[in-house]
Amino acid sequence: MSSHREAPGTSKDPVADNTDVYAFRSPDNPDTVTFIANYLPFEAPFGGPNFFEFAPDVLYSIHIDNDGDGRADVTYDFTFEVKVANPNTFLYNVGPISTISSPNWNRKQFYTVTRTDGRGSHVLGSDLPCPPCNIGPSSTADYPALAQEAVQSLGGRRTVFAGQRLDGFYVDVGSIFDLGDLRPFENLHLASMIPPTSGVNSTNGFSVHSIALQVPLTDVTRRGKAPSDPASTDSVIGVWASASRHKAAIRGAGGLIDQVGEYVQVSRLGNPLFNEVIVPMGEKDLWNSLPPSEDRQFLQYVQHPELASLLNVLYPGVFPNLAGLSAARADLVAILLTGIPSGLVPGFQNYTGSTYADMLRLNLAIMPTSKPNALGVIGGDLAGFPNGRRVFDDVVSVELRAIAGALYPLVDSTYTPDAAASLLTDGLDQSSTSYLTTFPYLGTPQSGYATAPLSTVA
Amino acid sequence: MDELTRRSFVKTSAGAAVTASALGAIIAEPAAAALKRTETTRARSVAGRNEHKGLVAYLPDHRSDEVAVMHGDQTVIVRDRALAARLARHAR
Repeated sequence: MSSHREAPGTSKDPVADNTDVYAFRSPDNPDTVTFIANYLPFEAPFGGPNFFEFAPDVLYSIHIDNDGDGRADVTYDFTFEVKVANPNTFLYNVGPISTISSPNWNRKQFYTVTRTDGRGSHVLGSDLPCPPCNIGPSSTADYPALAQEAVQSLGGRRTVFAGQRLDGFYVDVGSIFDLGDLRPFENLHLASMIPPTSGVNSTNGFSVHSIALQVPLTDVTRRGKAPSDPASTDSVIGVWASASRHKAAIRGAGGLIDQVGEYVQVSRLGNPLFNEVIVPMGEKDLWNSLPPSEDRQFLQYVQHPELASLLNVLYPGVFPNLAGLSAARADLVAILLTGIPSGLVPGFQNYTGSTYADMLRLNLAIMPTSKPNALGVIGGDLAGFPNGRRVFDDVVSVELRAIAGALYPLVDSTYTPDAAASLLTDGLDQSSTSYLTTFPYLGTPQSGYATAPLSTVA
Repeated sequence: MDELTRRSFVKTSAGAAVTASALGAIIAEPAAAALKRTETTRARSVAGRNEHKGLVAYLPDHRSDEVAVMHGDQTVIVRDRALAARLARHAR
């Protein structure tokens, strides 16, 4: 998964598990940038009566580095609280929820947004309402309208939403973690004896809890300058999200938990799949606890990715050139840890300097396109991944191809990628799920009533 | 997490007074002047997050003189060999 249950620690703490991060210049409001941080993987829509919500004891954060040191220059923090109207019922709602202020909704959630930069911290908004989860036609009949009510203005042309959304990340995780048995290439796999098939979207129908924030470009750029020159390093920001918990939790009588001490980061996410498939299991929890500025210690795993070696083993004879590639993978280092310098991709750079830091790097001077390609930069669309990440970008295919060596010629023109490298995919595309064309961009979550339990595919 | 020195923390946070008084309440001796608080860490200022009433003293290592005192959203590291030894004795 992009970062769903990617580490031993976060797999046991889903409310504090970053699943995806997106950062893109808003296509319908291009003077702004949109950040989306998702948490809580694999929400089954029928998961009541205590439906999913943000944790009041978790500090959720979106960080922006605008000077290339892998440390946050601007941070938006989100803290949540729950207000229970009637604790003497087991019901989430005692009647139809026609508005998010409906007294029939028994367990409402509200939040505060705080912005911190070098000059201090400022509350941008408080008592901001979340929408309920999508229960079903009897409870949440017009769910899009409920969600729209939860789109809140923070002033200063800032807009925020926090609540349940359909997971926009599509991936055939059932095949990938079955020894990398990509369904479109099953005829070439070491252990498979069946013909190729299309992919199966493992996140289909599942929801996440999403924080979406849209702010003016100048809210996050270095010195607050409007980005205009794609070649300027001042136009590039690094983005990641995190979840933090208090250092100590004391369990008391009556189920009460007192949590005290500084916040300690327990999860983070910049580039999709970084902790998932680059960092080894024994260091995943460590990685989650660190800021991107400390990522130099993981450089070796980017330079010599385990997954590249596995491709050679799992698909015998399919990647002979990759098998012969023993040099440190400067292509992957550029994509994941430093940004792509000028001169490698015509008209494009998102280089942030020599600090090795896993961040989603976004060149804000590149305008959104009306005809996006989900393969992003490798598909000729400079407004897509790895120039930030839009909700529909096919990051699984892009990263599979990159790890297989499809982009290595960017740093070594004498290298010829294997034919299969530029074809790799898990067999899915953006039609595997649905999105909105406007903020908060991720699609409407399925209702519990309308969701069937998981089925089996052949 | 931001890391602040004790001095900068006192300058910038009204919360420091709360911590000092709370510490005084549980650490009767040695005298406060003898305490050496070496480090205070806390999260960025987050609205509505300082309502916690409890206080936790944590000895990461029984043989060390370092006691981490946690209250609200901050942690004060106190180096006090006598306090650490007294607390450790209760664990035997």
